[in-house]
Amino acid sequence: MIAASLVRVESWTRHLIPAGITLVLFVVELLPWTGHDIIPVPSLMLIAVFYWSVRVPALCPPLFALALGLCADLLEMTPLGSQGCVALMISLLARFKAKRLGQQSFITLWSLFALVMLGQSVFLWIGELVLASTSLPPINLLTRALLTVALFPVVARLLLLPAQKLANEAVLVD
Amino acid sequence: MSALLISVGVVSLGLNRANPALVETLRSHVTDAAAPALAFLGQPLAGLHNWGAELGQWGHVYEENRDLRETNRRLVTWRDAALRLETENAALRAQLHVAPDPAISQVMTRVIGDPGGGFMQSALLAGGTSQGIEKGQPAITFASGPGEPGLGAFVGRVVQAGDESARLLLITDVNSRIPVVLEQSHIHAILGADDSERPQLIFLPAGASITVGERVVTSGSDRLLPPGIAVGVVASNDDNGIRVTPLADLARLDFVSVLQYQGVKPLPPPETLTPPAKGKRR
Repeated sequence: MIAASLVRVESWTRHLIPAGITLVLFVVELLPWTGHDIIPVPSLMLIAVFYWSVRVPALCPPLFALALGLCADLLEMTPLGSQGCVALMISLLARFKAKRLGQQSFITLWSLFALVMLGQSVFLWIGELVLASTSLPPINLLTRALLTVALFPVVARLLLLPAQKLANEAVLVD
Repeated sequence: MSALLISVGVVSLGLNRANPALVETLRSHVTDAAAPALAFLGQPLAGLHNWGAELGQWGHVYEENRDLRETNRRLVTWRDAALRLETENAALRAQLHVAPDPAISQVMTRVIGDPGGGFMQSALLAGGTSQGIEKGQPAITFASGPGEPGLGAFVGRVVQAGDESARLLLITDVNSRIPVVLEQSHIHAILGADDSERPQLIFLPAGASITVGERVVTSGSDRLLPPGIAVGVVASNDDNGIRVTPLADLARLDFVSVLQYQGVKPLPPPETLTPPAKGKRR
């Protein structure tokens, strides 16, 4: 009985790994890395949401992506729902095409993520203009998108090992 | 399920317009909840920043020591002059019956986060309304010690205050507008920013002649900020506008002092004033 409970706890813990890592990356993103310089901080959270949604969609549900995106909106002072909707769309699209995307090469995934970031920048710019009546500097949005895309291979490499372990332990069932 | 989540996303977008007060309350609560984690995780990072800065200074320690001795010698002379002027100023103020400026208390608080992403030049503070920090209060780089006159350099103002955390809008943010005055020429202007490192002076009077190197201080004409806080120095005056270099080192904000200045209350409308009773005028 105890052994069965332990197995269940272990299984639950394993299921929480992607969410936990994404949450840690999100908090890391909020720390004052650039010391309030003009340099924008890349969105590590979106990289993680995209990566987990493609590699282990069952462990990165759209509800989690939406909740994290809404938290980002509230903490980063963007219009509520703007980053939430983007994270939700990434999660839903990646889940929808997970089987096909899972077989794609890394370069294809990287290119796709670059397109997603470009779309996100445009969406945020329009969202801020319409909902908050202020204009975000496009150069800041593009710099952030470029930095995020540039960091994608590094973060993806860090996430590769846990993703492979989770895949080997057959928790990839969608 | 997906349709429900999309609906939640769309409704949350609509909330920005429909109920901005609710969105602001939510922001305060979430920021309060995140503040302890950010404060805890930010401490090693702050230590790393300080260690890096100190490491860079070790090579210049002898030159710095020599410069400090020289600066100290000059400051002692300035101190004597300042004390003399202070006494003279106090005597003149007493003769003219000048109303004294209200005393301003300060709350020093740690900067724990920079949650602006690419969207906002802001800083998250470890203190909130429970420490007396309120929305609209200005923040400066350091607190003056007891008996030390003057205030530090202006950093920004509080735009959101939760119970245990607050958000500071820096003077380099595109939404920042600070009424300022040039210290020597007494020209009034607004210090606006465009997310560059150097904000610019706008809404200057026609024909205003601005000298590079002149100090810029808060004018207090918005009745929200105390007058006379040093903001920056005019760095350039060319086709790119009149740019001001902030005196505060915004790249290295570890602590700030929030001034508990409640602003000057506006006069009540004339119709609400009670006329003096007849027969009591002399």
